[in-house]
Amino acid sequence: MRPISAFVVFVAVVIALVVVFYIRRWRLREEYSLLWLFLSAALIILTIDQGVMEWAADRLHVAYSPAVLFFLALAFVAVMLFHYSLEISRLSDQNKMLAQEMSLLRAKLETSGPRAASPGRVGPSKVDLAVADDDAL
Amino acid sequence: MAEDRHTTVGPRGLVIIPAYNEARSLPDVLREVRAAAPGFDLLVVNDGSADETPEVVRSEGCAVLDLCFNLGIGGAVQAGFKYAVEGGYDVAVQVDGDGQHPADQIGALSRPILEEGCDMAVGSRYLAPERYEGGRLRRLGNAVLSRMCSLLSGQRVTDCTSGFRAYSARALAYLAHRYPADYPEPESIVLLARQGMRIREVPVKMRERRYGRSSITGVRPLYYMTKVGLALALDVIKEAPRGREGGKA
Repeated sequence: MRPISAFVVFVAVVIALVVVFYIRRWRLREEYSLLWLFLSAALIILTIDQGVMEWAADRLHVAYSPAVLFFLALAFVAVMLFHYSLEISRLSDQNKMLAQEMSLLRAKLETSGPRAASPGRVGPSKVDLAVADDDAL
Repeated sequence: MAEDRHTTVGPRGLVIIPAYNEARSLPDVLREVRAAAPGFDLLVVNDGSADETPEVVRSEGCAVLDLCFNLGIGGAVQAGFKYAVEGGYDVAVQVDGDGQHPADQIGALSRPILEEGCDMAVGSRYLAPERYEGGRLRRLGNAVLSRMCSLLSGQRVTDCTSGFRAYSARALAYLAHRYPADYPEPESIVLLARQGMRIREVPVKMRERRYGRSSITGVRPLYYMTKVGLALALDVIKEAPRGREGGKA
């Protein structure tokens, strides 16, 4: 095994271990963990069996077989980044809606609370809200 | 007080005041708005201020929406739209919390909505006989964007960046659902126009702000213009959400 192959296999194993570590800590969702484990496995397979890359390059009429690998790696990264852009857009949208909804609910609580008789004079403080919650429970 | 107005017949109006760290200017603004538009309910949207904005508003006996973190002007104003829709208001006027917008024009701004069947009235600094002076870059940016807005909306727009506006119930219902996050003013003109809504500009004279500084200074107008220009262009290809009129660019 060439030194570079040994190094790549080492990196792939580290990736897999890191992924497993975060799964155990409940900090990585399954879909992502599977994706990264799959990547690590692909790295190991392609490193150990060079024939796969040669075969693929041959079928695609690519003279320099590592170019196929570079292309696939770049495509993978680009797709992941786009996926994250989508996720971030969705999450910030949901985040905004939650903040707005919460402010509306809080305003409703304030006006329907025991102090509604004097509208808006002094809204219930955060402490009052907590007490109201306890009563409800 | 506020409750009494709900029982009176006739259109119900709401003044929405987005505020981010405006504790110093808000008391004056609230007093002016109350004096100038006594028939309107007041709502301050506290956009996650770090100062005493919420306390000041509550001590003035005014309704407040407290956003738990800063959403930016778009998210804050939209929270106000949602409040207006839930409250069933016929007209809502957006007035900045920094005291730039003349409260005595609230009536003039809501007239096109209540009497002429318009869906949005924009207070324009460039229709007034006394022209608004601002930085040259700002004026250029506004001119370019307003031109774009006119083209894309098919209606005459001279001051697309003005945040001093009145909205009809129909416009509120749409914008409560869809409102751009940052620099929402020019985009919302095009969005509403694509829904077949009518937009009118009303000449207003704005004042210099007393406290705080504009967020758009230096070369920022150029960045603003580019960003909003691109956003406007992108709005054209966005699917018109199932509005009753359907969309037409």
